[in-house]
Amino acid sequence: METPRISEELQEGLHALITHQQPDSDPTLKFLGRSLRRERVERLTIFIDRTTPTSIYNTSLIEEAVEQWSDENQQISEVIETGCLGLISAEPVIGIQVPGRARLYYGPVEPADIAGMLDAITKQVIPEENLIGQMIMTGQQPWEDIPDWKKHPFFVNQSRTITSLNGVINPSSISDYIAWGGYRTFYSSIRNYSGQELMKLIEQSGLRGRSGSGFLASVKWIKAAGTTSDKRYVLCNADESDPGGYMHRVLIESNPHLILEGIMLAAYIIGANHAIIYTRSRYRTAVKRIQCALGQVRELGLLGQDILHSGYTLDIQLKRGPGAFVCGEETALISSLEGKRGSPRTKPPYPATSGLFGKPTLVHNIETLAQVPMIISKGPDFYKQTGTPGSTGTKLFSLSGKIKRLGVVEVPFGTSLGAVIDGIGGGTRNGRPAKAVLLGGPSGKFIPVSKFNLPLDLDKFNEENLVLGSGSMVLLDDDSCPINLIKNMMDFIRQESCGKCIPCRDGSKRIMEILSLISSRSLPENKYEALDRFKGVTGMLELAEVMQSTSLCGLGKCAPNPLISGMELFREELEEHVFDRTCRARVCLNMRSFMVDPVACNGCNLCFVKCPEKAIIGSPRLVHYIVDDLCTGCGKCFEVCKFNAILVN
Amino acid sequence: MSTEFVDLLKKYPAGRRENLIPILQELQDQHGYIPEPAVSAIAEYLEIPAVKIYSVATFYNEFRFNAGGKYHFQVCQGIGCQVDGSERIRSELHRLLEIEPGEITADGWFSLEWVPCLGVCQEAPVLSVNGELYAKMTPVRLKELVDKFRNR
Repeated sequence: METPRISEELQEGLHALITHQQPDSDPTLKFLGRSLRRERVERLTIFIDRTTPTSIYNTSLIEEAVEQWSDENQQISEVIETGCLGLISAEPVIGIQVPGRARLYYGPVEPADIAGMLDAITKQVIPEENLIGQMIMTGQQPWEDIPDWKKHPFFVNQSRTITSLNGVINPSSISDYIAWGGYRTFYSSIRNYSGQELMKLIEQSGLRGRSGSGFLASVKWIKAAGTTSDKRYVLCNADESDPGGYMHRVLIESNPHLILEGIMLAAYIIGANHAIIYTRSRYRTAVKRIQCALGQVRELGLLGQDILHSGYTLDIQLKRGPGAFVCGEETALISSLEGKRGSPRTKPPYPATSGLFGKPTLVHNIETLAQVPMIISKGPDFYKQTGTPGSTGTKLFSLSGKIKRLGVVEVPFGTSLGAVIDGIGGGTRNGRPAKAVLLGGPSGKFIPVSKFNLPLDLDKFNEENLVLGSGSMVLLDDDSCPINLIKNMMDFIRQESCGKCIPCRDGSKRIMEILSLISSRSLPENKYEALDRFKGVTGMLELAEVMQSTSLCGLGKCAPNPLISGMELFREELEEHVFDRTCRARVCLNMRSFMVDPVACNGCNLCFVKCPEKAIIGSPRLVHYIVDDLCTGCGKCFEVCKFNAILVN
Repeated sequence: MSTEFVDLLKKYPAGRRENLIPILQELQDQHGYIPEPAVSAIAEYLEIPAVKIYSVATFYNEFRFNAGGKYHFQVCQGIGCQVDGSERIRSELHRLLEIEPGEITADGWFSLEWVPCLGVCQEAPVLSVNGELYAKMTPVRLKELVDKFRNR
């Protein structure tokens, strides 16, 4: 992709912003910074979120509506793309800023609403419908009686540090990032400090990996830096494949330069001259944003030979991952980069001593690396103020499932689970009672409502034998069937298992088979089949434990987690599936049986026509009847009936 | 070596296995799938047996050896969509198109794939057809969608 060329004049300004001791003391630089931060705008400016979550809405229609309005009212306006604020359930989110005043955020916005909103705002009247809040930056006059966006229930308890610029800056523009102080840390590090000095800061900060295991980062760093070798690598794992999580993608799409700065600092500290970002090629927007960011960084001379005359040389390469869940495991990721199948290998040797092409390699995911610029610039003592003594800093979570406010949240370690689910997320969508939270996707565990006061802390979770995982939270209410979810996740593991070790490859398949059998209706089966089914039920837990203790890598070891925790928590529901052969949430498709309510049925004949199995008998204006033996439980009749005359059991 | 792929291969240094995946990705971007003759050309160029290329290409979800259908259905497998009923969508698509994921209908019109989270969890369950997203799917809407494509 062609990156827009940065004019020489601007390049000079940006260099000055990075290298100047105190840019705010120089009036020209201060003015430049303020303009680039868009604290002051000269015309009406509209900020439109252009990340994957908005891809379903035609945001270009919003842009057209803005243009049309400007033409009609002879106003000059400017549209700027931004990242995602994090509140995904309010997409598409737009920001509106008139000269001199604070920026207003709205969402969800329809293209048809635009003209009315702009009319009102230019007349200094603020429409309150769908308002998220105002964002006040220095030198701006706030709007009266309009709440700050940080007071919105979704944002009020968050502590946004690595996501602080998400949704505020234009992710495709390096000048935005630099104007907010970006790359200054990198510059001062390579000019004034040695790798060892900075390593001390990382060590003191107590930074832990955000990928799930919570490994102490400095152990890896010291090992990678201490191993003698002619080449070292920093490998940034941006191959988020957790089917329940999307926080990494939102972070890359909203602020790619932060990730780059983190990688650059890590590379400098361990003395690596090569770094690689590995992101999945299906994340098309994310790939585009990184490519664009890399182009701009090279253009400004922040990458390459002798960076800003410091004598340090670094290049970052982008590699697109062809899609495999197991490539989240570091050794599998390295195999994939070497052009092989993404199979994990036994450790040790750890990648920190012998990784990519046998060289010392520091592997971290993007969330961990994104913490690095802040640790270095603000110092470890400041960093340790957030979080708990054992787990410092903040953690990203993505909320999905039956939750009211979906999105990406950043909270300090130690925040209680309930504060995130009920406070930030707003509880369940329909106000139905919550059942549990699945934390950590297909490798995670269910956490019941009774444990919602548990602090999200790595040590505390280890103590309770729970998994914090990558940070995907899926809320289940009493309309969701955990058995069905476990089955689907096991199916996912079965597809994604690399096939190298038998417990994972065959265990996942067998558990999936057993779960399919217990989540299907009672079909005529001969006695051996019934025996087989029960043998499966009784042996399932043992099989899961075997898988857990004998699999080679984390994928197989964690795969039975949802099953084991689910069997304990949802014992009653599981037994209903096994013995009564019913699913109380009516989610298990094969278990539903249908009946016509003779009172409500007026004989419209629609279900008769639509039934694909011809399992419904009846004629117009007469009550219909469903033949149970022919019915496959597809639910078509239930969906087409306009009179709610089909009852589901 | 067949001349068709020379230009593409020349962009990468010869005999370096780590370039295998980028080469396969570029082929797939160009053709929409990996053409069989390309495999032997790559094998010769990178000096690895063709079987190794098949072993790698079949391992990853992204690579395909057949062209997709005219309408390529990708159903989101994310947990958010599952909680909101994507299983019903998947079983309905199975029934309507009578193919397994990765297959293509006999008339070449439809192909099917389960994909990881598409990132629009607020509108779950979602599916995408040739890159265009369809939100809040129900089996009834799905039937209408498939019929619409069939009658085009």
